[in-house]
Amino acid sequence: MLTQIEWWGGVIFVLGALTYRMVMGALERPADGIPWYRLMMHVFFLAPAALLAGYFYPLTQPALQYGYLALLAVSLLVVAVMLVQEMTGDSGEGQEEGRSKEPLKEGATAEAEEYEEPGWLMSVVGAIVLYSPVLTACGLASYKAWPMVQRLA
Amino acid sequence: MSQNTHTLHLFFEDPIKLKMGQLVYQYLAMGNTEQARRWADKLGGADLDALWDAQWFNQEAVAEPGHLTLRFDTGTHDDLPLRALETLFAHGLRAAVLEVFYDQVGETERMHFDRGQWVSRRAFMDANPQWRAVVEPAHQDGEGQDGEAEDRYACSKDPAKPLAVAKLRQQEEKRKREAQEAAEAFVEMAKAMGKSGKSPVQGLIAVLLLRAGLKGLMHAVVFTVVTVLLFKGFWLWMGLGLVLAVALPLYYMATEHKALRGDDGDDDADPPGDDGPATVVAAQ
Repeated sequence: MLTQIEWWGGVIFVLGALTYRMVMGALERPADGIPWYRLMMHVFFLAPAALLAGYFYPLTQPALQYGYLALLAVSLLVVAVMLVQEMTGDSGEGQEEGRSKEPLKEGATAEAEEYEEPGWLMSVVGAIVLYSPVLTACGLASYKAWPMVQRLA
Repeated sequence: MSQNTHTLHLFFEDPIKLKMGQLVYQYLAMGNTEQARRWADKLGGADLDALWDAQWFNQEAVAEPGHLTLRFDTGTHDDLPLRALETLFAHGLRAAVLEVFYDQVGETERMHFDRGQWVSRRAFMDANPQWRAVVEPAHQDGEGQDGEAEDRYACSKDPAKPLAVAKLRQQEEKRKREAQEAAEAFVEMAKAMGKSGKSPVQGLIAVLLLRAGLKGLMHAVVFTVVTVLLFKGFWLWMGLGLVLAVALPLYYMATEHKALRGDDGDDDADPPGDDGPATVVAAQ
């Protein structure tokens, strides 16, 4: 009990950590070059974690408030980019899958039906369930940040 | 008897050092240690024991214009000549290419070294384009003819990033030592099992399962300590930790058991997921 984080915040942290491990474990490291997608995934999970931790503390100093708002902006941007990528299937893994599925489409269609991608609605629902800890953290942070934004405006 | 055949192309910084290195190795190949030591001293006091391994046989040192080629055979379990390379790099060696033919499996492997580091084939060729014709002669002759010449040298074992020879040698030694220790531990265990009349395989499975169980228990303890320290709700995290302390070892042991049994024992092996709910009920 070294922090001010409530038990339910801890539950979100634990779930987020599990998702983080699962997602990062499934991502392949590119052979060469900077692993941009992996870096973005790290930001996608770690920035909301910092936001969630900040939610339980009173941010009295203006510098802290500005920092919190900046972190929130970065998180929301990355989350938006990720969700768009999930919908369009334009992620690092998505490209791999797309390439491997090409020959199937040319060949027999009956067998290929089993491997059909789920509809975009299911993809979005799946992504929301998988990333719910991150989305919850962003939601809570937005709720906390709203009065700060109003004061600034 | 199977053996590993080594071909080592050595490129020195200047012709004088090349000449001295050539004399050292030619005398060593002939068995004239005294003369070899004299020239090794002139090369900068290089240690003969490091330059030459007594296990090597069928040795031959050939001086060619601009470089020295060393050929020798070793047993299948002997080390790569990394100690010799490390010493030579400290005494005027500029670059080297090592080709090993593993007689037992019929495979060839090449390693490229430049300025004391193990580098990729491409990095070596970029840094030393003038030696490409020497280390890959067929490639030069048959360029543009067919892909066969290209393939002959595609067996290069490349590091992800340049690695110092000294470090590579330490890694290799560590790997070998660990393998040796594991083998000794297994032999010891098999002996102990033999005395008590149990099958060594059963014993090994028991040890692996025990290790998986301990791993699960350790994970649960770490989880409990971290969550109790970080978050409010002491009893929630203690309870969750207790459930995990039972569920995780069982889960890891079931997974390990399934992996050990392999594909043939799937019929009676419970899927790991089945243990979860049963464990939770038991814990409560």
